[in-house]
Amino acid sequence: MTALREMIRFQSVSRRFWTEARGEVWAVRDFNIRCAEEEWSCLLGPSGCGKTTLLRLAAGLDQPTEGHVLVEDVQVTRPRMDVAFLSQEGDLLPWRNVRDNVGLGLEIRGFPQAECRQRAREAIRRVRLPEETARSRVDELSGGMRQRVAVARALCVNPRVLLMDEPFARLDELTRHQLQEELMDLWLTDRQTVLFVTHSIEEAVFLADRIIVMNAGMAAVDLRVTLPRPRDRFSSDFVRMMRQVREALSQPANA
Amino acid sequence: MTLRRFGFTLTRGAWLPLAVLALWHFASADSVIVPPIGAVLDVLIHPFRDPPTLDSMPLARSAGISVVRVFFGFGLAIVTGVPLGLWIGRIQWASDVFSPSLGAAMVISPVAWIPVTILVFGLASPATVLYADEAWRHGLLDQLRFAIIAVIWMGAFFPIVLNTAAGARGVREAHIEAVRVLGANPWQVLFKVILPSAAPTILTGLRVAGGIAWRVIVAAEIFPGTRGGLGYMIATAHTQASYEYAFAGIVVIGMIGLALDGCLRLLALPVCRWQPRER
Repeated sequence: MTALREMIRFQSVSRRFWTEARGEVWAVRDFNIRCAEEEWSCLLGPSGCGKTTLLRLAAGLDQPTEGHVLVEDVQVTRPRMDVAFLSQEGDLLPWRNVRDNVGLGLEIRGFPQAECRQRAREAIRRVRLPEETARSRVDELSGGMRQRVAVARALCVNPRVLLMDEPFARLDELTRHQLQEELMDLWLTDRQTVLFVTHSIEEAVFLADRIIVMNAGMAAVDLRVTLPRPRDRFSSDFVRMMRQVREALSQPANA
Repeated sequence: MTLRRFGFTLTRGAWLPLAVLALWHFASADSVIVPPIGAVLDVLIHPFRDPPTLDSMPLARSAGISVVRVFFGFGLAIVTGVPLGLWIGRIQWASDVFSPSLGAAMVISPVAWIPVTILVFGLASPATVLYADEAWRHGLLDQLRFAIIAVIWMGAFFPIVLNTAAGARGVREAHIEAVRVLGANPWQVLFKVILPSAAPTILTGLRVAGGIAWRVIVAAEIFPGTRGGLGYMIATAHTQASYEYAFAGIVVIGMIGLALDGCLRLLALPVCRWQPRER
């Protein structure tokens, strides 16, 4: 088996913020990881440990104070066309209907309207939304449906890298499980490089090839998940892996 | 608001004017100042008739001139106010530079600018610029006195700028980032996120500004050098005791103002439909 090439690299990345209350705050400090092509990596850690900051740096929405973020050996200085970003709330535009939200990326890239609509309809089908939702307004959808639309919008532009910031954090457990499974099915077909932020151990173990446990802006532990897919959440191996991650979470940052 | 609801609102809104009409009818019974409704209606249903005792144009022509003046003054305020408001709303240093001056200028009544605009522009109009001594031959162009347009602009400009700035400032950063990560350039961010998101607030500003522009026109047309428009007609009617023309002018001002506001509200229907139900 040939080794997959490197897709994302965080090279000695630090990001400092200034706040009125706390003064200088280092959200990320000397962070180093490399993500291989077609690899699903999860950044796991408590709130405020710098997960979202790292994702924003990889998306080109922010710049590191020190170090570099590279995608395919090119330094990220602004958003790239082949990188899609999915936030916790989906951030759908409420003045556009579902189809126009999904086709937005293509529209921005200058595709003809007919093609945008056709590809948006295909993406809507792929995320298992009923066809009639295409013309629905965003505020008429449930939280789960909204996240499906956001996933469809991200996939519609055929990205090579998917950055996902706790996309299912606001959903109930059943819907979350369902969407995780559906997302996994889509990924098994497309095989993008995924960097997924979560604070759920179960979600990380279910989805990831690799879990980077973060603590105080640093990568504390880097774990490989070798469980075969599809993963059974109730199997002993799955639970054992969850325990291992749980222990890693309690370790100090420089362990 | 749906069209049906809009119609329902209009119907309910007709009760108060009807009550005013009834009051007017009784008030005019023994009055030499308040003209009978019939006399005013006679002026209103013959809008193209030359006023027999008045040094003014027919009602329809006066109204037309006022509408054209408001169109240009209000249009100019939109063209200048919306971009400036967007700039101030999105760029912090622009807000720091302009906001204090705009805040101060906004509280000055547009009518107070009339002497200043007359000093600056005099009786200049597009006709005087283009045709000099022959300007009087080009009636409508000559009526578009720069001084009057400038006063209307003054009245409409500030609410448009301030509302646009508030709308642009209120755009969710998450929405901007959502399109930036899809590869949007600054123009695409402006047209696909900032403008649609700020549109309801901008339209509120336009409605306020439209009302002010229409109020200002009457005051501006009363000042020296004007030879047409509803304000001029009302002022002339007052000096020559043809009060039915003054009242007819007031009724037309109200009706055109209502129509202008109605148009802006209709324009707002598709633009603002998403807003109330957003969670």
